[in-house]
Amino acid sequence: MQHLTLEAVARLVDEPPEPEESLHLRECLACRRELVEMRTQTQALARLADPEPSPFAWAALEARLAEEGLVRGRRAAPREHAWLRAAAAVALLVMGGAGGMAVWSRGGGSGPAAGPDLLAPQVAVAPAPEWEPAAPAAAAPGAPLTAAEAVRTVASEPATPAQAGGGAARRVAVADDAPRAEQRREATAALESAERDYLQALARYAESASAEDADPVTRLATLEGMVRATRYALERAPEDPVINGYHLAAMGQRDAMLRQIARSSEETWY
Amino acid sequence: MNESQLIHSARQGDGGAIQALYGLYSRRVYAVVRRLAGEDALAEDWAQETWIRALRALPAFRGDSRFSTWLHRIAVNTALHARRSRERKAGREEPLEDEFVTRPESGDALLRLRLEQAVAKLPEGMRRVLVLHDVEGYTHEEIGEMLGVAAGTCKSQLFKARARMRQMLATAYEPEEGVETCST
Repeated sequence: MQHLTLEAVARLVDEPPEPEESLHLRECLACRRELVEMRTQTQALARLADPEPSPFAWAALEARLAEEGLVRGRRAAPREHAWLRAAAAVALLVMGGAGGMAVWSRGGGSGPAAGPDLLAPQVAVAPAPEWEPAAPAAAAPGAPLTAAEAVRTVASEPATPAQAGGGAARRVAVADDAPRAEQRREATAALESAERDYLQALARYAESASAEDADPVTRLATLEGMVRATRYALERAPEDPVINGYHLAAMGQRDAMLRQIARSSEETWY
Repeated sequence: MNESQLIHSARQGDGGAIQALYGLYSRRVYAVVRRLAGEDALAEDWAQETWIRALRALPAFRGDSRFSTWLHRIAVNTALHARRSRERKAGREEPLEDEFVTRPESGDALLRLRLEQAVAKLPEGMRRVLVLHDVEGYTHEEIGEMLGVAAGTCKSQLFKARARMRQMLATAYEPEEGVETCST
């Protein structure tokens, strides 16, 4: 007996069967089952939840809008964006060897060298502020940074193309023609000032926090590292249910933390 | 401020109104371009481009359709245009990556994750049609118009895409005793 092809089954999700297909379906359990599965798959696609854009996407768009002259009198950067960018920067720097690498090791990785570049994306999502160089962080190359050192590093180093992640952020960060750079400088002046103030405040905050404190920055750092480490592992073993479970749990917790941070940033906290 | 007022203010370049519209629709815009892109970095680029295009075109928005519909169409067109540009530059369709093994478990988060992954793994032409039809709900005629192909071609691609998805998602299924498996 010749079974229906998968393409024919796919067609039957939307269209009525031909007489001979009807006859076959009446007699063939396997093809009936296949049709049920195909319908289930199609219905599940229609119900897929929308993925969330990066919480940093608005900041990148806002900078681009200013570049393009599409926004009148650019508003001062909303505090939550400065908070989130700096928190993410600190998170990613601080994360280097902590929770994410621990998870990565459990997933069979061979250590940081084999893992994802935890520092690359998102750190430079801010519209390439050109901070005044300050005293460099004292940490030796490759040495783990404390939260406070990480904050000082972020505050003292200009974003570079190497730090910039992919996509929209990179375009903003590496645009190098003079008029655009000038527009960007003007458009981000208020943001730079606010962020510098914020980073100084955050440095003080990080210095005063003990390692055991479950402050939002540390928690976000851990969660962000876990998401990245599990995503990297998932790309290599997509069928592994344990890694899938870790990844989903980490993403859920990270999203909840970002929402909490966004809410708390509406209050005056520094 | 209601949506009409937000649109009016956004036309004047009001940053607050633009941000409010972004807050309302950024997730929907990102979702459609993300699925058409198949990867985060491209999707971020295309989502940003969508908003730029939409704000440039906003003065011409007359309200004949809902703003969300209008914006969604811009997102789709932006993604399709960007993809065509990439393909022209590359001079070829992107290669199909290795398929992966998975097992649908109805209704859970794992299935959703794997559906997303399977969609991302589809060849470009199939993914476009599957996303636009099965996820976004466009008709074959609408998709044919967007892609510049006949509705019949669109249908054919859709059925191929569903079949490919089914293969990817069903690979881990072991046939039960006494039950034949369908062959293609």
